[in-house]
Amino acid sequence: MAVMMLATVLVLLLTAAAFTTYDLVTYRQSLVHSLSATAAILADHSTTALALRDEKDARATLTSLRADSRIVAGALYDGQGNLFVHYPKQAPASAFPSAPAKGGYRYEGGRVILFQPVTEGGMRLGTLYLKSDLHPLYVRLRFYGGIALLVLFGSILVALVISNGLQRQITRPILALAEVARAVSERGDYSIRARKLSQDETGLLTDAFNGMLARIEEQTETLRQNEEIRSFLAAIVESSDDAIVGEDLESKVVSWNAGAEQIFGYTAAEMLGQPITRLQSSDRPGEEALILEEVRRGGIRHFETLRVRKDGQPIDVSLTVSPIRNSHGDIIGSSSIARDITDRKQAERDVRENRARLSGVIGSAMDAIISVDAGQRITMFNAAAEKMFRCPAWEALGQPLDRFIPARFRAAHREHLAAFGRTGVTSRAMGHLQPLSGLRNDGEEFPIEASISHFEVGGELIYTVILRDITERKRAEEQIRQLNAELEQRVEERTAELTTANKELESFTYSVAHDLRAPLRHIDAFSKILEEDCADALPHEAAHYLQNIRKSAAKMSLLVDDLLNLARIGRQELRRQPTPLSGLVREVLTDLKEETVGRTLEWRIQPLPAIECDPGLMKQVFANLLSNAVKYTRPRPVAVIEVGYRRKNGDTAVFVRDNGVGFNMKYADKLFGVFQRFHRAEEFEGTGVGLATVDRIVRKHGGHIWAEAAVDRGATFYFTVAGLEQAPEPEQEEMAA
Amino acid sequence: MNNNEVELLLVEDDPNDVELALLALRKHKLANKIHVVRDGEEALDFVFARGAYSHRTSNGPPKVILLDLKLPKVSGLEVLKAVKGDSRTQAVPVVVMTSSREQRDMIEGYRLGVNSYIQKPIDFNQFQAIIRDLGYYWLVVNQSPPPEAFPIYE
Repeated sequence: MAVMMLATVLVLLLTAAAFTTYDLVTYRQSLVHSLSATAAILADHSTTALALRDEKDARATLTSLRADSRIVAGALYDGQGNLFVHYPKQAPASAFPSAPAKGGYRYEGGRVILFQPVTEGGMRLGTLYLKSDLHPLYVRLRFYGGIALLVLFGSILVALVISNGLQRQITRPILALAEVARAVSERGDYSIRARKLSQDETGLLTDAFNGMLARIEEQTETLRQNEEIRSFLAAIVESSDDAIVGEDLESKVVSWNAGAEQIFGYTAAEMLGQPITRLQSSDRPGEEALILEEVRRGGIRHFETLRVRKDGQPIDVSLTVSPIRNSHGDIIGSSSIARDITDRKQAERDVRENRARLSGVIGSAMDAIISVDAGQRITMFNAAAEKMFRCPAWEALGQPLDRFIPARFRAAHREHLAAFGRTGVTSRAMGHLQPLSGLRNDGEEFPIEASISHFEVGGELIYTVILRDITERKRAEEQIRQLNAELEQRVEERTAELTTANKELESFTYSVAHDLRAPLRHIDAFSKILEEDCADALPHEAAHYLQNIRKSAAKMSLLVDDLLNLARIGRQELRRQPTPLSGLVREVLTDLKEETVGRTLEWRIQPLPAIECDPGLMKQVFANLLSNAVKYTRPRPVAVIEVGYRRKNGDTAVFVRDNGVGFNMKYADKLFGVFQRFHRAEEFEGTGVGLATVDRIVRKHGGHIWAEAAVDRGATFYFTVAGLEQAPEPEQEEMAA
Repeated sequence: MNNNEVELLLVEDDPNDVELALLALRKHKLANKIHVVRDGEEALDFVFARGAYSHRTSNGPPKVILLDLKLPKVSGLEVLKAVKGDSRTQAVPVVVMTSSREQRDMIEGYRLGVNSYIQKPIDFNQFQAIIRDLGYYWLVVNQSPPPEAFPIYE
């Protein structure tokens, strides 16, 4: 309503102003006309007065101006421009311009000032000056203003009345519309609709408004959806492990996701606006240019290449570069999706390497390696197979495996293979049911040993058999078997021979024992009888000879005894039992007492361990060694004989040491031979069988014997016996006995 | 006991051994009632009173048999086995006198029930001493089994 009122007032004011202005202009024009006319008349009347310089006349003329109340001042100037007369007379001369101006009028301070030249016959006599007041004009204006105000108020009253009447019909629906608009804008709810109140223009307006709201709502929804999709897509891009990079047509980076930061090491801030060629590998210059060219043509490219990270490390990537178009379909840039395939590349290299290695292994294998597919067609045939079957690989590949199997085994082989494929087992040795045979290209059959494995490739079973030509081995085995049989037979024969020989030896020694000793006894006996019973009949020397005969017999008897003993030890089974060696030594010392009568002997006997041995035989060992020690120390004023055991050359050995005459080590190897003697019989008695016997006993006990000696510096005999190494460490303390 | 009673049976094939043994026995006055057989068969014939000795049934058994082991025909151990294996003769003392020191023989001899086992020493002095001791012991010192111990001679 205010608008309506304002419009009304404005219209009225404009109308009043226009009217007033027009009237004012018209009035002023008429004033000037009338003033000009008066001036012209006065000028005419003044010529004479001026010409004659008749002041009185001139003044009278001016005084006539009184008739016109609008003219407030007038004056005449002479030809020289000096004030001649003025009106009103009482006005000071200073109130007038000091000199006339050019002809014409002008407004000055709300008055009109007019200068009119006074001429007579073309000769300028002077100048008339008139000054008119505009007061009437203002009166007139005030009058008009009053009228205008009256009209204005009247109009406003009328307008108020009319608008009040119209409000119900027009304003209310519009206000309702405005309310709806406010609600929409405040709540942002574009689903609100204005109620249509009438079928007139406001009704149409409501419809239009609602229509507009509907469209806004629709667009808002579209926008929202677009926004959702956009942020969804942005999230995808951001969360992708792949580098997703947007570039413009100058190859400058315009977008750079987290994946790109991760893969290339540059942050988005570092890369945005930078040329993508930064990532280009120096050995592939111009690659980006080629890509860009492709993109400009609208092509999409997938390829793998090398990029360089921020830290200078090369990185294998798979790239997908595709053009980006604007809504008009123009290409404005490109997107490239890069995936770090370093691991895959490495894996591929590994696979290649493995394959190379495997094929190297297969190629250089000594065994034939053959693969067949489910249809029994050969798909692999290595060098060893070529050699084994005498068939080049190119000929074998694609052929059925049957070709290399003797005809009579083919059906069985097929069956076995199929059965094997059905088992869960993936590999096993073949031929555990029967020996296998192969068939060479030239028809020769040969024995083989095989193992088989299967695996699935693309849903198809592949069988791989590894074959070994065992012809040679079979031959060798046969040979070994034969040799073994021969050997066995020979062993049997030898055993029989040995048994016979042993038996013969046994009966021989038995005979020796009986028959060899008997004559000795007889020799001794008859010598003795001769000596005693026929002493008188014999010459003096005979007694001496008979002594020698008896000594020889005794010596021979000793020899026989020793030899028989040695022979018996060879035959005899060991009767092992736990035996304290110290006890044996004590027994031997007792036995030796007789021999040592009258001599000075220092015995140094360490305690010896108990071991498993044949006590009888072991006693013989000590008896021999100790009696030897006693015997060969005979020249010493004090014989020192030591017995003990100690670590020696990694063995634990019992030793018997003496300070006797010793022997030269160059004969050491003869020491344990039968009948080997290092001393003359006059020096030291003996048969030369004792150490041979000791050696035999020690060896029967799983040990060995050796000696260390030097001439005149004593001898040490060491011997080991099985079981001695488990004995406790020997005590270093020596025990005198 | 009559004079024909044999006190000592010497089973020895070697004439030298026989001579030396008799010499030794004689030296010690022990050679009165000695009978010598020269092989195992003859020894068994004598002991069991058969063959050439079948007439001896009434005579008692010898007080001791000195038995060599190495004998022709039937060995000493077989003789021992036969004597000790028969209830009629097993009470007769048997002393083995042998040249050898064969342990096997000694073990077998004792297993078969020999009463004494002696190796003939090489030294003749020792041999004489042994013979003397043996004679005294078995013929004088030792109490022989009573005749009831020998059913064959009843």
